[in-house]
Order: sequence, then C-alpha cells, then structure tokens
Amino acid sequence: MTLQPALAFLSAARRDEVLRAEVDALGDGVTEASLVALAGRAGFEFSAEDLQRAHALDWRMRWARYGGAQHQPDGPAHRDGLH
Amino acid sequence: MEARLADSLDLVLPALPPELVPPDKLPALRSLAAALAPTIRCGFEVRLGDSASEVDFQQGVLALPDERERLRAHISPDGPWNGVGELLDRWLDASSPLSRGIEALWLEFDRPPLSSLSVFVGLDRSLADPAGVAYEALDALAGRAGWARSQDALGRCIGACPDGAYVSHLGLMLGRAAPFLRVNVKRLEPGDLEGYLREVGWPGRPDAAVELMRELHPLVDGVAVCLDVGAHVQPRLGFECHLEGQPPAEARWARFLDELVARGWCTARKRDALLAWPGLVVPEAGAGAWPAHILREALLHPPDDFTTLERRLNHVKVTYEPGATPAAKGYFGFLHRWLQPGLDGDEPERATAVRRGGGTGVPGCLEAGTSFLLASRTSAGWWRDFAGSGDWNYAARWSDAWVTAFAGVALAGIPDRRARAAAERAWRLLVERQAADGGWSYNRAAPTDADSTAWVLRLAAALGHSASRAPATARLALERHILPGAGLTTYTEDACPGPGVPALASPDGSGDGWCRTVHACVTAAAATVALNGEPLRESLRRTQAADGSWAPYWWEDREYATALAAEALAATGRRGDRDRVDRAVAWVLRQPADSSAFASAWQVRVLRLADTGIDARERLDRSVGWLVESQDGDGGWPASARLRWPRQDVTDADAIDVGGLATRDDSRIFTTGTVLTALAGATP
Repeated sequence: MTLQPALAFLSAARRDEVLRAEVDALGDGVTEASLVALAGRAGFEFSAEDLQRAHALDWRMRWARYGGAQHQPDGPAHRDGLH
Repeated sequence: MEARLADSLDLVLPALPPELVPPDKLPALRSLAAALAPTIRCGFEVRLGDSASEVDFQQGVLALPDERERLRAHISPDGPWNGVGELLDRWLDASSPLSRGIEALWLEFDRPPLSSLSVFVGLDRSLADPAGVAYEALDALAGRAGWARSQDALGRCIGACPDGAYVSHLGLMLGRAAPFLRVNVKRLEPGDLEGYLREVGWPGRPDAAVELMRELHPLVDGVAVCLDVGAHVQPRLGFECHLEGQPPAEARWARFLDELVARGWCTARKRDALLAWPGLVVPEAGAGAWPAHILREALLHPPDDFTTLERRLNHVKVTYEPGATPAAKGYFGFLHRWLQPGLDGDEPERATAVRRGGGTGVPGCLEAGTSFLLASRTSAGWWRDFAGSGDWNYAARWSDAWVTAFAGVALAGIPDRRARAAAERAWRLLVERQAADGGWSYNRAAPTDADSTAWVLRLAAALGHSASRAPATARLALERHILPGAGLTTYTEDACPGPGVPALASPDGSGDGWCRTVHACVTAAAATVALNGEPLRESLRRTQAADGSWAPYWWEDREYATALAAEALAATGRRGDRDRVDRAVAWVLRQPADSSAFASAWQVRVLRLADTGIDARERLDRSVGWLVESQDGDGGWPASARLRWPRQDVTDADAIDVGGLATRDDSRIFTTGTVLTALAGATP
C-alpha cells in the first residue's frame, strides 16, 4: 500500500509552484506513467494504480470540505444545477 | 500512450442502458473511441420506436482554441478526414470568414465500426453573409464538386429564412456514395413552416408537416427543422425537439417522452432509460482509471474545482415523411465538466421576504435595505449576484468574492451594529479567500482581477483594516495590473481567463480587451486604495470624456465609473481636479433623472460632490426622494446594475456590435448596496 505518497503528491502539486510547473509542462501528452515518473523524481514513490486510488480519495475528501458532506455529488441537487 | 476518447468512454459505459445501446454494440464503440481525439463532448443517437438497435456516435468541438487545435493535431490526412483538416485550418485562420462564422463542429459516425463519417458545422446566428460562410465551409470539406449539385437548393434554404430564423447547422455526409446535405433551421415558428417549405421547393403538401410541428412545439423549448438537400429539397423532414433543462428537474422531458410513447414512436423501456440517463460520473476507487490528461488538469485547477463527466439528454428528433408513420430518435451523451460546488451553490437563497423597518424616509430605507442585505447572504456569509443565464452561466456564473466586498463596503458605511458585524464577517471570509498572488477574484473559479482586489481593499479601508497583512500584499498584487504609463487593466496577461464560450472568444485568440486595455471603472475603484494612487488619478484625468463623464469597460451605465472617478479626484483638493469634478456634476445634470435605481444612486454620489449650485441641490433632493420611493417592499431595490462582458479582444466596449454578454444583478444585492451607500451619504 503506497497510497500516502500518492496523496502527498496530489497535495504538493497544488501547493508547490515548482512541482505545479512541472505538471503543467507535461502538456496534452501526459500519461499515468509520466505523472508517476514526475512524482518519483520529486520523491513520491507510488504506482499508477495508487495514483488513481489516491485521486478518487482526494476528490472525496475535497468534496467533503468544499462541497458539503451532506450532499452527494451525483445527487439530484447537482444534476439540477448543471445545464 | 497518447490520450484517446476511449479513456473517458470507458467511465461512462457502465451507465449506458442496454435498452438504448445493446451490449453487442459496445466493442465497436470502444474501437471507434480509441481512434478519436480526447475531446469529451460526445453523443449517442438511437432509434426510440421499436427494437431497432442501430447506434450512431458523435463528437463535438466548440470554437475554443484548445479544442480545435487538439482535434487538428489528432486527425490523419486520409480519405474524408482530409476535408475535416482543411476545414479546421480555415476555422483556425483568423483572416478566414470561417473564423467567426463557425461556432461548432460535430463529427458523426453512423453505426460504428462502419464509420461512415458525416460532419455537421454549427453556424453563428448573426452572420451577415450566411451563404458565403456555408459555401466556404462545404468547399473546405468536400471541394465545390462534392456538393455543387445542392448549391441552388441550399441557397434557397438559407435565403428563405424569415426574420429571426437562421440555418444553425449544415451536415455533409462524407462517407456516402452520393453525399447530400442536411440543413437545420432554428427559430422557425410553426406558422412560418408552410411558406418556408413552399419557398425552398419542398415536394408535397405541407399541411401534415405543419400540423406535426404545431403539436410538438408547445411541448418543448424549441423545434429545429431539418431538411435533406440534394439537387432538390427531399421529402423527409426532421423536427429536433430541444429542452433546456435536464430531468428530473425539468419535468417536461417526462411529459414529452410520455407523449411519444402514447403515439407509438417511443417504447416505454426506452423512455425510462432516457429519463434515467442524466447524472454525474465522478472518480471512484476501483471504478476505472480517470483519464491522465484530466488528472493533470485537475492538479492545475483550484482545489474546489471537481472533475466530472456529466451525462445529459440533448434532444429528440421526430422524422416526418409524407405517407409514412413518423419515427423518433433520441440524442443523449456526455461531456467533461468542472463542478464547482465550492461556490456555495448548495446553500439556500433567501427564502422569505424581509419586513420593512419601522422608520420612515432615508433612515427607514437604510434600516430596511440593511435587513435585505443581511438576509441575502448564504449561510456562510457570502453575497452572490449576477447569476445570469445561458452563456453567462457557462462563462462566468455568479460572483461571490467581488459582490461580497462591494456589499461589505455598503454595510460598513451604515451606522448600524448589525451592518458592521456583517461587514466584518465578510472581511474575514475574504481574507481566507485571498489568492496566493495576493489578489481576489470574481469567484473561486476565476483568476485574480484588479476590480475584486480593489473592492476588497476598499472594504479593508472602510473597516480600518488597511494596515493589516492581507491588504499589504493585495496592494502589491494590484500593481501588477497597472499598464505602463497608464491605468489599471482588470486581468494580467499571464492570468487572463479563457473566453469560456464562443460569444466571448476573439477570432485570433487576442485578449487585448481584458488584459491590455485601461479600464476606467476599475482604475477609479482602485485610485483611493492603491499603493500609489497618483498614477491612477493621472490616468483618470487623461480619460475623462469631453462631456465630463468616464466610460466604463464592464458596465453599461457611465454613472458607475464617473462617480468613482469624481470621488477619487475630489479627494486631492487640487484646483484642476475640482474643475474635473464640476464637469462630472454638469454631466450628471444633463442625464435623465430616475432612469434606474443603480444609475440614480451613482448620480447622487456625484451630486454630493457639487460645491454649490441650486440645480445640483434640487436634483440631489429629488433623486434621493425617488430612491426612497422606489424601494421594494422587502427592502431591496429593483435590479438595475447592468454588467457587461465584452468579447476578449474588444478594447472599446461602447463600440457598436462588439459582441459579448450582459446581465443584471438578478439577486438585487449590487443595486441595493449601491443605493444604501448613496443614501447613507445623503443622510444629514
């Protein structure tokens, strides 16, 4: 289980301007492998599968913070708001 | 591995109802998507009336630079794709009439894997020469020889559109041996159809077709008429029925589909499957890999932007052919969407009217207006306004940070303990929201802008917080928006927002209007709170119009910029500035009084600067009285703050026909805050 480094990478990529610039530089040609490799060079060791699991977990955690824990993102309230 | 559409299709397939897309069709869809660019705006077309299981697939690209270039880089120069590449090249060429004439491009694949390609070109509805743009688009796609036999009939279809109607889409079936054109006409009323069909040479008696359109029209928001055009207009017609909303919130979808079921044009199972389709796909552990290119973008977006795939119903097309039973097709799909619940979108709006305060005259108005603003906040304490609709909602949505700063300034100027507490709460929220670059933005989805930053600085000044840390960094952020030797521009070049919708996109991608033009309305708002106000005041001195007013960039009413500029110059005490203020007062006296609460309130602020003069005093008293009388029963004032969003390359927002979007403060917060400030200053 290497979920923690993947979560730490996601957090760092949003805060660290240098890391963020490297993510940006990957451009449209980005792949899971290139993201994992970039993270590895920055000291975060994890697999592509870990990255996906961490992303889903990070999404839910951010949703709980910003979206309101009482709301389901796929519930009618949001469907109504998206046209 | 290069990103492909298949990556996102795989996330949507589990929700695809077998009633609409049988499982045996999925391998072909996957195979097709593996060859397509990763632009996630897709649709399925299915027959609704029986057990027929044909499925067509569509992919759309809008007139947004990234999308077009991504598709251009992806396609190969083989076969019919050669024409698509040529069309994209001309669309991307700012000197081509297609650059502004085309809004969207849809690729349609009939029954994959046969993949006979059709291309649908979405045309701008305000074209001066729609035929010219249509012909050039078709030339690019197929060469004139490929469609010349249809030219006369197409010309009739375009030329016969009555006022208000227009050809919205042109389809060319590239993969067929004898290509024909599909011509979609929008905003044609049922009463216009008979004459239109006669004029374009449609064969047959139009009575039944007109009757069918009359029956469909009241069930939906709009019906587009689709014609097949070869050497002549063909007998088959299509009626594309559109509804703006999505089920279940838009209950008319169910009623409309029920009607189709009752007529035998849609099976009950397919109706139920369509109604169950709308929803969101979100990242789930173990539920399929989220596309890497979106994962990368998610890291570059703010943490309160959420990547999602939205499943939507698009429209239903009813096909009519003389002598045959009408048939219906359903169009539904998915697209990528950044969900932004962090805009407090879930919090309830003010649910009940506010009781008017017990006082009378200006004090009573201030009390009731304060109550209105206090009750208009979200539960977190934000004010939100300018929600708009349609394209505005896509491009901007509502503002919270900027509106909260503005409303906070209004309340900070009112001698009421509740108002002061609300302004302080707004300040705390805004400090928490301050961006890493020190500024503030229209809302959390937008980049830092000088106007929001200026209004937060004005709030800090009004509350006595100017010496704290947040305003200090904000003043430095504001400096980055000063154009050399001139005033402020709203956005910096390195953080200029994208156009968001075609209506705001410039043909060549230029952002000159938003980040390289001095905005007098923003400069005036910031002149009293900037690190060094003198360059901004100097800009205002240079930009005062000959009639004494200042021209705003983001507002339709000149009063906003004129009042703020006059106040900034009046504070210097210099004789030359006094003259400029007097000219502003004279300008106000020449304007219509009481045209709107918003304009009148800013006029009041200018009139308060008048040194002497009976005219100004009488006009001031009259306008204050009118504002008192025009207050709504719930304490607010009628929405009249008209905010505009010129196209990104437009430098003169007052020029005629510059495109763009506009909306009012539909929550009435901005107008109410404006009037409260004006009346508070008018209180003896």
